[in-house]
Amino acid sequence: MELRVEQLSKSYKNCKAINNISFSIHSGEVVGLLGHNGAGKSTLIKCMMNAIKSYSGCITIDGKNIQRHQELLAKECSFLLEPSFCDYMSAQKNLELLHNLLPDKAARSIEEILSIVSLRKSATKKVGEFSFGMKQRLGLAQIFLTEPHFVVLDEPTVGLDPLGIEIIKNIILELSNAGIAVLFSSHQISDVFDICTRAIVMNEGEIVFDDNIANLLKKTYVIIVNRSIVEKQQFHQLGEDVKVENETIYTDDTSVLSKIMDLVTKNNYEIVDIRTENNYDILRKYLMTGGK
Amino acid sequence: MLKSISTQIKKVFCRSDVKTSIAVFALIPVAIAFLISIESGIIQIGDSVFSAMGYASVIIGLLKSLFLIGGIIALISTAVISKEIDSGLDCSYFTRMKKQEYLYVSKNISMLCFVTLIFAFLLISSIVGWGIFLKDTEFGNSVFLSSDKDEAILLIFSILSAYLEMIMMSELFCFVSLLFKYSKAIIANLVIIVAIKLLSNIEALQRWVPSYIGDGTGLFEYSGNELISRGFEGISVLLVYTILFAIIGLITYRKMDLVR
Repeated sequence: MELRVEQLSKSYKNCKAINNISFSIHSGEVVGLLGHNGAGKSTLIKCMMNAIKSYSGCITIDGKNIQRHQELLAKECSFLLEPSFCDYMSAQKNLELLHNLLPDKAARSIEEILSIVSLRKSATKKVGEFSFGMKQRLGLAQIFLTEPHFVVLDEPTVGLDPLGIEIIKNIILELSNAGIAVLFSSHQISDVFDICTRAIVMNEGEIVFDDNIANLLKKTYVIIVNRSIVEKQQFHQLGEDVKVENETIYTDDTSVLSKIMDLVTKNNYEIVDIRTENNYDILRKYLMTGGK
Repeated sequence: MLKSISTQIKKVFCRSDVKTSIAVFALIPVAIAFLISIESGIIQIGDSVFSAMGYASVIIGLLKSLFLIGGIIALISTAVISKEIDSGLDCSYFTRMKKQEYLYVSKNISMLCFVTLIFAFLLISSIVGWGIFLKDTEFGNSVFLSSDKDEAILLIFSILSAYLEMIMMSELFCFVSLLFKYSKAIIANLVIIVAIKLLSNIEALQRWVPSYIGDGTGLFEYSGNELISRGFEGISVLLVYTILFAIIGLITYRKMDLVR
């Protein structure tokens, strides 16, 4: 199955929260959605769950528009935006109410679901007395009421202690092993590295990176010389991976590194700096500064 | 749809404020009957001698004039509609439903159940209070409705109008709760109660103002067939308002984003 977002844009008054973004996720993928505050992650998830309706572009599940097929969204997707429950009811009662809305019987018993998220002992406790972390885990428990093909989580590890984060990561991995696609937003790059197969990075409403984690870690050598390079063609001839921009030369290929150095010396450039960079560094820059 | 309705009803009746409200409406009529019987002077009844339904009608009128009925319906409606949208609870429920409007319809039905229940408790408690403390005393006769035909019709219309007014107000409060965040919605709904009460003092508008119709006082000057036709006119006006607010609310909810 495929969940596809196509040319999605959403504006609030004068501000563009999401600007023409497209991507798709498939069964079994664990995709990390990264971005600093205000990057558009939550707005994107709210659009995906039909909670925001007035947007341009379309979101489809196997080619069917979710705005016209809400029933498909209810059946195939499970969302955790921020944990919202009836505070005056117990965890068990809250899950029973959600279960009551389902067309079919729950895939697992409520007790079993509460055990998965380590809340069995607090089953009869009122949700109002729960810590944020417990609410977050209860939010995750909702997912197990159905057998969705897509699970979308908005910052599921926020406010959790290390044990809580570990529980959630394990749950996400189990979901992935069961062939369920998981899209989860986070501020934590480490969360994404630990469990994701792919990362999507958003900045100011746009996707600035969408690739698998291996490519995210791929090293690029950066050689900076003292003046703008005129003989660009000579450098490009060294290999497909060699790129030249003003006074900077980039390459992913270590085998051409010595040839680049030779060419730099031959053309009388002085090396100002040599360093390695990877997409991870660029990503960090986006997350720390919003790309500015 | 039925599952959604049963879920919402369970949710509403698990609320502690709902349970407290029901308890309040179940106790007040009995308590007032007791206080009348011991001549406490809690309400000025003059030479009135109450029938069971006459006492119920007076109690409903009293609680309405104290804004207790309207106030409680406003608070519960706002919590059920506005607060649940603000908290993201609607969003969470909606992702498991086929249509967004099902959620609003089921919330409205749960509010209708709540209003019906508090009205039933008011009536039953009034009858019980009358039966225990007022029946066959200087304050109450032994008649359930009235020995006079016109008075009996008047009582039926005023009680029925009061119930329909409560339902109409609930629909109005639900609709207003869609438009504002929780705290603003509470203020807006409380202002509406006062505004409607004030409007009922304007003679030219009275026949169209819900609280005037719901009080049933406008029917006192009529008798016979005119009383019946005026009574039905009032009920029709309240029904039209109720349907109108229900439809506007449903259309608004259907189109609105469930995030604020």
